[in-house]
Amino acid sequence: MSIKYNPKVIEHFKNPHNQGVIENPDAEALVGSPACGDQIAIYLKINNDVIEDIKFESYGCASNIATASIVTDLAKGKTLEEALSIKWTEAVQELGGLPPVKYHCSVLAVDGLRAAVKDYLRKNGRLPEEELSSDLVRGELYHVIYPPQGIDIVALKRVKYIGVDDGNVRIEISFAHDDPYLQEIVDEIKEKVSDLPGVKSVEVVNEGRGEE
Amino acid sequence: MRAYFDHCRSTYVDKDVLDAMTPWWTEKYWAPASFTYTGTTAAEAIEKSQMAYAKLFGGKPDEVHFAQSHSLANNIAVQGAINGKSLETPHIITSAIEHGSTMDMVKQLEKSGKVKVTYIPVDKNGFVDLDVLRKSVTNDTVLVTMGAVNYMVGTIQPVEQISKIIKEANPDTLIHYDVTWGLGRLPNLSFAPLADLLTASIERIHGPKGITALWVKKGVPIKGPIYGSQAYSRIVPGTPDVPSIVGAAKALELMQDNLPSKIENMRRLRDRLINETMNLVPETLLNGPEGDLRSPSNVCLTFKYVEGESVEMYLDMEDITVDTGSACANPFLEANHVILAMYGDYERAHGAIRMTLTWTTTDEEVDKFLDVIPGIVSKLRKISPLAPKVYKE
Repeated sequence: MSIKYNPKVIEHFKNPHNQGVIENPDAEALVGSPACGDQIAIYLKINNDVIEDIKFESYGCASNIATASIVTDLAKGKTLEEALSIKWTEAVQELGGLPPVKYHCSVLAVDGLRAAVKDYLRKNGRLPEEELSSDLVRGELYHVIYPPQGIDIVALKRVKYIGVDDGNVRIEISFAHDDPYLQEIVDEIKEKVSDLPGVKSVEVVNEGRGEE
Repeated sequence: MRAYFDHCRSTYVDKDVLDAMTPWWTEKYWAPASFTYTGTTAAEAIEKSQMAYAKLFGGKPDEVHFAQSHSLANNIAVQGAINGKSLETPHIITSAIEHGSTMDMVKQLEKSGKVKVTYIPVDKNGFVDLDVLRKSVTNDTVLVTMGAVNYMVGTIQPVEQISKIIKEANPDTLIHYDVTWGLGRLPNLSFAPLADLLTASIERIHGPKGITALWVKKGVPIKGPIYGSQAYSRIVPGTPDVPSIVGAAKALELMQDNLPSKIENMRRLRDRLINETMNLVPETLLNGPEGDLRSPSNVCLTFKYVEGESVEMYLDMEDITVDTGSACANPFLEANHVILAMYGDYERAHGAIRMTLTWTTTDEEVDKFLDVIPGIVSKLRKISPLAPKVYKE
């Protein structure tokens, strides 16, 4: 299978918009992890709950840079509420499509934006204290994309059980034991869930697929 | 013109090799057989090639087989060695930094519970830990398999010492070296007779795609996993690919012509790439060993704070082909396991850029790379959240 970037992705990769750092930002966030390979930093200047300026930094591949460029374009001038409702699928659409194996890059860019907005709300005492629950964990799993299909693992019905007990989270998933993406999925679940408030440990158990 | 630095994966077929092959498709397209003119003509062509490779390996012509792909040859070597002995749970030893054509095979056998596997760790230069190796060989160790030269970082393993350690610990243990990345890169294969099985892919020495020489020393009990007509090889059954086998012999002949100066040219350009890049781009890390312990055709660098697929894409837009260890560029989103095993550092693996040369690589190609790499790295460092302030000006 030949995987190629379309010209719009290449254009944003070569000449990314809103790239850089805001000195003394009103909010900032760094998302991603070295294990998964890509990381995005988002910086916000906020006035009257409107994103006046937004900048990003990226350690990642061409699609990581391009999606950060387009997501920051989408967020600029928007209210915080509007910014929180931007979906990763919009970013993909705006870029004229991405190879499914690269969808997780646009998820990361949107997660970065979301985390930065939440950072602002938290700093201003406006973020309701989130209590760790299985729903909160599920919310994170919507952002874990199964690369070959480009669909999140909740929608694919691969999440079988979420248990939360005194900060210890247990997640049971269903993938073939020799699925080549299994390690990537497990790493990403752990990375996303361990950032939730009150999480002490994350255990991911793969129960396999019925057909094995 | 494109500067191509991915000869560890593919080389152009030499025009003389192609010319040697052509009649074996169009005029002498026959299958080998006994007695008839057509059959014996094809058989003699194969024998000529077997003789050339037997000479290279220090063996006999009928010990040389030709598989249709590199992965196939390594799969036959590993599975054949296991099948050849009737142990309940045979033990295989390999290293932590092997190429997928052996590593994936071994892992699959391990997963299915058919074998026990020990993965010998490596040091920061990619050399296998000889003490661990010595202690790992047991009575059940059927096979030790590893690349004589590592495909990713060019480490030249001390294979003579490795062979000695293995045979001292258990004389019945079979030794398989994949010499693919040593062919045309090492001055000779004098260590070959110390092994029991060797594989050498010809597509890295300007031969046709696929064809891979598999040497099985006489008396080695090997039972290949492929079934079919054994008329020409009981280890690689099926109709032999005569044109490619003819091409393999021609490619070997051309490779051996003035080999020392070929090696010297690669070594000089390798050192230009390594040294000049490190001078031009601060905080550049060399992955793997330096000097004579490294393949003359391998360069593997990590530019700190910068991810490899982005570098690869920028270079591609400048008509320069390289390879990267980044997870982003891997279809299964895994960072290169060789760099991880050597340094335990994800960033170093994601950032790794591998450049592999051949004897016709030119100074102009190297210049083309050196002209653009400082600008590409500084552009990417400027936007990297991991880079210190000094790169943001």
